[in-house]
Amino acid sequence: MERHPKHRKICELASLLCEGQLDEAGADELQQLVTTDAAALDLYVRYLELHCNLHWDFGMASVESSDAATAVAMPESADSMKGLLDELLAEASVQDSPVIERKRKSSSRRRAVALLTSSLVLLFVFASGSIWLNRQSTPTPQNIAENDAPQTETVTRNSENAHASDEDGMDIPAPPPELPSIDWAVAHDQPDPIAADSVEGHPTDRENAPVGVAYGRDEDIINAINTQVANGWEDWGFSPAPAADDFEWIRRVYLDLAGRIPTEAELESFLADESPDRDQKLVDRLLESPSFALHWSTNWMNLLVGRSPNPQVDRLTLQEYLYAVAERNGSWNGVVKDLIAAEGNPRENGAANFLVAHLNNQAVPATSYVARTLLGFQIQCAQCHQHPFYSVSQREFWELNSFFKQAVVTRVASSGDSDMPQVELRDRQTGGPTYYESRDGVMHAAFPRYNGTEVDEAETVSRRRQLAELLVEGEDPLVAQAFVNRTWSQLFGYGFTQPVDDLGPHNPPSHPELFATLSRSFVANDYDIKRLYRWICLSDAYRLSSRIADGNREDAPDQGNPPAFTRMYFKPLSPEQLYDSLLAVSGHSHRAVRNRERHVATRDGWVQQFVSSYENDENNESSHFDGTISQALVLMNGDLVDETISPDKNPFLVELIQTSLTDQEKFERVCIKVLSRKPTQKEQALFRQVLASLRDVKSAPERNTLLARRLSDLLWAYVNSSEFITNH
Amino acid sequence: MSQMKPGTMDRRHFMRHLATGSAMTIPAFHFLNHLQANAAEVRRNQKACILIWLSGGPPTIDMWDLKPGSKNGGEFKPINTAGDLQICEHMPQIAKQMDSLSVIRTMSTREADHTRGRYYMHTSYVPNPTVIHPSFGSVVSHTLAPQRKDLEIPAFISIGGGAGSSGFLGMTHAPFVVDSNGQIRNADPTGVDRRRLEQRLAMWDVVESGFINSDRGDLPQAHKDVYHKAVNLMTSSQMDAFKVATEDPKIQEAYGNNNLGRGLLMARRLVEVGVPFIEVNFGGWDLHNDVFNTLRDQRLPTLDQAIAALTQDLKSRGMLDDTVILCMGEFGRTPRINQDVGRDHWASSWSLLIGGGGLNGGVAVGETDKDGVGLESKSYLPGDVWATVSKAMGIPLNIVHTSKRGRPMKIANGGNPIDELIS
Repeated sequence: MERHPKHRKICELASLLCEGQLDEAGADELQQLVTTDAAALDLYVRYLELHCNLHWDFGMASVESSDAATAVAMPESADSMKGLLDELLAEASVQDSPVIERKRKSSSRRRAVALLTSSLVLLFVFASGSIWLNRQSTPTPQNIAENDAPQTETVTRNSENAHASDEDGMDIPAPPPELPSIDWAVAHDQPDPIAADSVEGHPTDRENAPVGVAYGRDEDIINAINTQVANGWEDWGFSPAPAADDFEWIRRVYLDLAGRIPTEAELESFLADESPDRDQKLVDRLLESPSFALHWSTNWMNLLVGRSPNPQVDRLTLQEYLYAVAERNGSWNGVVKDLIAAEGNPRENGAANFLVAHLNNQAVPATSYVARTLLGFQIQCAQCHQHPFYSVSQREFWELNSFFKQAVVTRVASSGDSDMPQVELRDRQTGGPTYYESRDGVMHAAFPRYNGTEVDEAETVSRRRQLAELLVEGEDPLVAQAFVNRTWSQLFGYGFTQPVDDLGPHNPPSHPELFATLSRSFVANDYDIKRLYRWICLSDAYRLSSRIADGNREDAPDQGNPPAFTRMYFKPLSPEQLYDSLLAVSGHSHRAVRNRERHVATRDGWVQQFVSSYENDENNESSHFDGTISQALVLMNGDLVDETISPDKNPFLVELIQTSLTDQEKFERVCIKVLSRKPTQKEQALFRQVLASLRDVKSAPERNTLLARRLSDLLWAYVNSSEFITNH
Repeated sequence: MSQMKPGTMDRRHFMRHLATGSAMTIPAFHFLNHLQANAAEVRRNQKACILIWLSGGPPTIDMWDLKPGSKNGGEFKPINTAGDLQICEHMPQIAKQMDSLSVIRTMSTREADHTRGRYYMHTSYVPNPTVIHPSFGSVVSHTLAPQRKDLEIPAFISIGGGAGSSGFLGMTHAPFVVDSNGQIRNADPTGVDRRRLEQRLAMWDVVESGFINSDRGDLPQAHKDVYHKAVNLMTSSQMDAFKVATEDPKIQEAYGNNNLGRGLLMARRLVEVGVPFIEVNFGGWDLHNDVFNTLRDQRLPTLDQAIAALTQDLKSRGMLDDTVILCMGEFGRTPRINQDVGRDHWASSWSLLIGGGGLNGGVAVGETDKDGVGLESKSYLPGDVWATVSKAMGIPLNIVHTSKRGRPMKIANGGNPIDELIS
């Protein structure tokens, strides 16, 4: 969008106003600006709107906390701003909602004066703002200063409509909602003014990006992570959780790298190792294990083609391709190139499945999947109109789409015994631009172009091969950033941005310098996938406990705050992790390794019950494996769990019942088996109670049967615990 | 999965055991709290909403707001209905019921991406990275479930999935996703008598409480609440409502022997036991090509039969005045017909079907221009639709939810009930 000529000045003045530091001359100047210039008013209103939103989002938590001294530094000015807004809102149309009930803190005299000044300026602006809005809209509401609820509603509606009808041009993200009747949520849904301003860039713009250092040695990179994460703690005023104990850590690292809980033997061998570098040794061993290759390839297969079945897609071959990459520690840029430029039968060339899955609907899904999954930015809404948050245009969407113009999936004669449809991914000889239609019905042409480089449109040039090269060019391309961000997010539960696949100037990362350093180091080390995992897993932050304490209670990314990584966040197990962990509880972990194909096929069958496809042309799907009742039912009553807790079918239980351990020790082993830790005192008390109830049973066989049932019940209880279904 | 076997302990007997304390000496555990439930009785006059979700974005210009004579008009003709409006010729059964149903013709919703549109239409809020808004079904669950003490199954049921999430209202109000075949997977504890289930739960409670008290945030408590609901469901006779196959074959036939027909029949049965919000997913509307053949031969006949049967059935049971029927997708489709004889995504002017629940029937709300592109009258947002539904369901519009961070959010994003639909 056009930048207002006095953009900086207006922002400065508005900022002073918000901080309660605007002097009289400044107030006059601001007043002059906003009352004479509609664009200035627009900018001003949007600035305030952002301020208010940020205020709600980052300020309220600390107001609510009873101990103001330990609360996150909340500027005095924010407080006075809040007071001001409360007053304005009370005067305005939201009286019917019990919204503003928060304790108002006593303002000092000085602040009261500042408040009054700002109120005056604001009220003046409201009045003029409403006049300006009136001019824009046909069903003219009366002066808004009267604050009659139905009228203000009309105004909001009009601004909505103005926006809706403006979809194609979309130079202005949204007309200003008038302030007195701000509906907080609606207001927040508009692009943030400051973001909208800095957002003149594009996800590929690196001009203002922080300079990350590309390190070569593992120690330097791990140090950089430690230093920069710790700097963040200091900036935010948090203290980190204590380090995780060995039990917590080993379970975590197995789930993250091997995709399942550790076996008892694995747990014991780690605990017995007293060498100072045992963490490193474990991480390295896991990264080299077949379990890592299986887990990593499963994750990426799900990201690339989803979990819903698609008759043209051969998931197994894709998984085998990715498995082989992990096994030989191939580089990520190689994977990206393979996926983009793949040709041939997807049952033979695993990498071809990615595009085969998404070339439907004029390659629209392929375009948005490449952008979101491989490049980490969301472009799909630009298909029809300008991106709501930054300046990715409809043209750019179709320029990226144009790279897939030559790609076709064709049916080929079925070979041999298979009933499955046989298809082939290839390029046809075709050139020229891709045509698309803008909202006003005008046809436009888009030529293959990425990040400023246009590719020859001739039919002899393979566009996908060109794109494959362009994507991995440079010291810090988006493919590297996207992969680093996603990997970090897999290991910590949160990436540097939320959502993890929405990079761009509108969504600044929580740790810009660290993010840049990691991305650049990843590129400088030839996109070495396993080393990236190694750096992160050996960092201090990854070793922290998941316990919340007073010093890090405010570090709450689940509430939309940027993550500070002061503790390990909860990561719900994926259905695949849960499946493999249940096998580990039965002592069947080797199945995954011994017959991988069968294991994956069986597991996919089990996972299918949680997936529903959205049945649209963009290949979206949803999973209800998310802590809902359906998941609880599977864990309480499902076949797999039935088998896992069966004293006859679970080899671990069969053996446990027959061992010479004391009964109490048998119960303890169930705990270690499922949760990789020793039972708590309360749990031990529970075991004693259960055993006490068996005391009067005289017949030995009967007692054994009852004991087996109790062990099975305890296994059920542990498998159903929230501690089991999360990685923490 | 196995159904309840004859000969196992019946529900009342089981409840009595729970009430008198367990055989084991583990601390008493009261998970099942609906001891007095009288489940088989049909609930009268309880408000409900059935949302028929046309996943993919239906071409409403070919369904509810036809434009004969326009270049955008397409192949279908409008027909007269029992109401004061015309609809597509390929929905003759619905046409007969249109005295009870209305169409809003001036939806204008700006989100034309599937994911964003789905989110917007379900929540009334556009997607926002810092907060996840609840689907309206979760809002209904949050508001009405506490008042329906007899309801032992979830208050928000999604038949076929895709109903969004409960967002900041928490997992206990998430949609319970089921298949339209009526088989609820894993709902019966196979081969476990119910006393043993209680013993397991008592052990589980010790483990779970330990984790809840170990300072790990809200998730463990939420997990416990979800289990509470799941156990209630497992032991409830209201689960019979899912068994559409036990319904009179004539009625099954009337709804149609397909997922939508079975889904809507199940929805009616769920309303009867007191479930206030049911969403039925009916996909296949992303018609970028071959729109007319697909509509005429596949989508519309199925939709026509099922909605007409539902309306008629609710009416004959005296339930229509308490049950809102709403039928929409994430957006409409372009008035212009594209080169593949399809229509693309379009959010600025489209229609939806709404009726029942005491709302006015037979009305066309709003008007689009002769080509279906522009609006000739006031436009509506999803918040207005949900405010209308709230009004019909007796949910107060001044409810304000507060996200975890303390941000207040009005119900239905502060939308207003639509005048023409409420008398």
